Amino acid sequence: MIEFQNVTKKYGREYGLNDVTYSLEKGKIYGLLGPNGSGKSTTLKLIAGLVHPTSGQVLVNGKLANRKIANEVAYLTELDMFYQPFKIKDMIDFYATQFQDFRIDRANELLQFMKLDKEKNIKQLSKGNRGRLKLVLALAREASVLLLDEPFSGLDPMVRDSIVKGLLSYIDFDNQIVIIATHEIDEIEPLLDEVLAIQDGKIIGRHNVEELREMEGLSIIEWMKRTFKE
Amino acid sequence: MGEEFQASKPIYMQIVDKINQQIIRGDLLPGNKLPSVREMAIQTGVNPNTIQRTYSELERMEIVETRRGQGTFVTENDNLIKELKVRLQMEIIEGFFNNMKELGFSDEEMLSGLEFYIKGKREKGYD
Amino acid sequence: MRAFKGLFIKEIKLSRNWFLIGLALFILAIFAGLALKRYFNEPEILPIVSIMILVAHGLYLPAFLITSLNTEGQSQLWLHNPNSGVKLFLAKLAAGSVYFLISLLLAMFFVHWQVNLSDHGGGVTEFIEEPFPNMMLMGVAIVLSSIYLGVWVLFYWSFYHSLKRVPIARNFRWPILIGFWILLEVVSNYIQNLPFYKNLKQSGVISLDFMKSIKIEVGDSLDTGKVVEAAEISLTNGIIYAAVVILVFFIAVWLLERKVEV
Repeated sequence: MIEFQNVTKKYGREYGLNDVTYSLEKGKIYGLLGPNGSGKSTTLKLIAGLVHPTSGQVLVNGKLANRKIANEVAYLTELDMFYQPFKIKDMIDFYATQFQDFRIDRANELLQFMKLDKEKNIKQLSKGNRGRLKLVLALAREASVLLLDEPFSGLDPMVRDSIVKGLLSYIDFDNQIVIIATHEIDEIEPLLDEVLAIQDGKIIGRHNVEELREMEGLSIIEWMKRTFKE
Repeated sequence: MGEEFQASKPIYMQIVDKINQQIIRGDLLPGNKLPSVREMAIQTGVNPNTIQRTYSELERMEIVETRRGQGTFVTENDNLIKELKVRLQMEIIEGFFNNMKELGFSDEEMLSGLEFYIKGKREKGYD
Repeated sequence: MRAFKGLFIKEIKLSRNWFLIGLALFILAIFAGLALKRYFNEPEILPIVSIMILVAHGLYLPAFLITSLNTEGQSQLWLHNPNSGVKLFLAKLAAGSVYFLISLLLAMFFVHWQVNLSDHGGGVTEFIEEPFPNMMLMGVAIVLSSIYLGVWVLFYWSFYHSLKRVPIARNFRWPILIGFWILLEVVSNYIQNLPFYKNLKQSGVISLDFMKSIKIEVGDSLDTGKVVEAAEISLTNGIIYAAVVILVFFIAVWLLERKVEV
């Protein structure tokens, strides 16, 4: 369970987040949607304990989120998060020592699934394979929260497909909370339980994807167009 | 990733429709096992909770039955499948009928139009 | 322990190139010394260069840490980690120390060899009396000062990145850092000149007479300089420095945990 209680995060005079309160429950896949600079990354970093709220608090499984929460939170950033001189296996070995919930057997399985060769140097990987490797590292953990920041950006449809399949194959949908922050909703809509629209540091809407279709006959894309129209 | 879904209809219902079609066509036979929720989710690229809802709906319709510890199976009750067939047929006919009515065709015009169409198809041979 | 070992191995792998570059510079300096020696036809240049290399090792650890922290940046990769800041920093210090000690030992052997060589040749560079203990002491002094400076590097790095959070300070981070450094210098000078502190310092002094004899003479004794000025070791002073290092280290860790953001 993730709780935001009156959380404000300011960067200088700018608001990263402006007094938001909501909670997310386990067993669901959430889409955090919004334009660039709307507060998506700030939200994820707050949950990962990598930035601290200016006021209010963020709780993950009842614990105040600080750097140590990394024990329970797997965070896939939109940036490259590899040590360049490493081979894939070095990265796996390193992660295995740092996170107690990292399962090497699972990582190996995922590498096979993603068709990645352990002996390859990270420097030589294509962009798509780096994207895949990021997901391998995140999914090989049995973390209760999985945060994905723009996991599809700049990747071709083949890679997107393998990422979606990887997610569906390996997430624990009874116990995990998965949050996908993205501005490209098209392909992942069927993947989501709920969407939260965020703009200028405020949550401006929250819906269950299927309810939205049932009640209003709207897909998320259409709903987004309405929500973000101004 | 799998397929495109229409915007106006819940995804779980679209998957229900798809599975029903497979049963009527005979792609899925009575007693056949459906993929597990996770397998189905992976195949279609759809949220597992949505698939779960699809299966619950199919169960409610008695098209499938879940056997504890074994999985979900297409019903072996032929009557239920026949009923489903009839129901789907009726739904399509109803759609056709309503569309034609909206355009102002009479019942006779509708029937003769359909007959004419089928005749034409037959002469060309179905593809 | 497993986590620390993992971090340590990561640091060793990441900074292998740094170590090799350090060695390359080392060798380059020797060749430069050789060239100068030929050019000026002055056999004493090489031993002097060797001692300079040795002394320069005092900056090894700080330089290592600056590079290591900068490559790491405040990346999520480094900080998205459940292990304590103490471990994150200590792993860097430990890996740096391994490379540092290897390089330092090489430098010490080189000095030893060069000085002996010039001794046999009747040269004017002399380590009068026991040359070896002198070198050991010098080595220890270099190790300690390198660690001392290294810990300050950790502190200033954390401090610098903590200031990012403070909107007003954001654009003046360098001046603030320098101002802070000057302030610390002034305060520590003031404290060191207090009679109280002087008395304290006197209370645990071990005199190292033989250190006074270390001399480097160049040419015809035109220039005589002592390498080690204070030939005394104050135990109290040592304790104070150790306490300062530990305190600074934990402040750096605190800043990393609480104030540094990615």
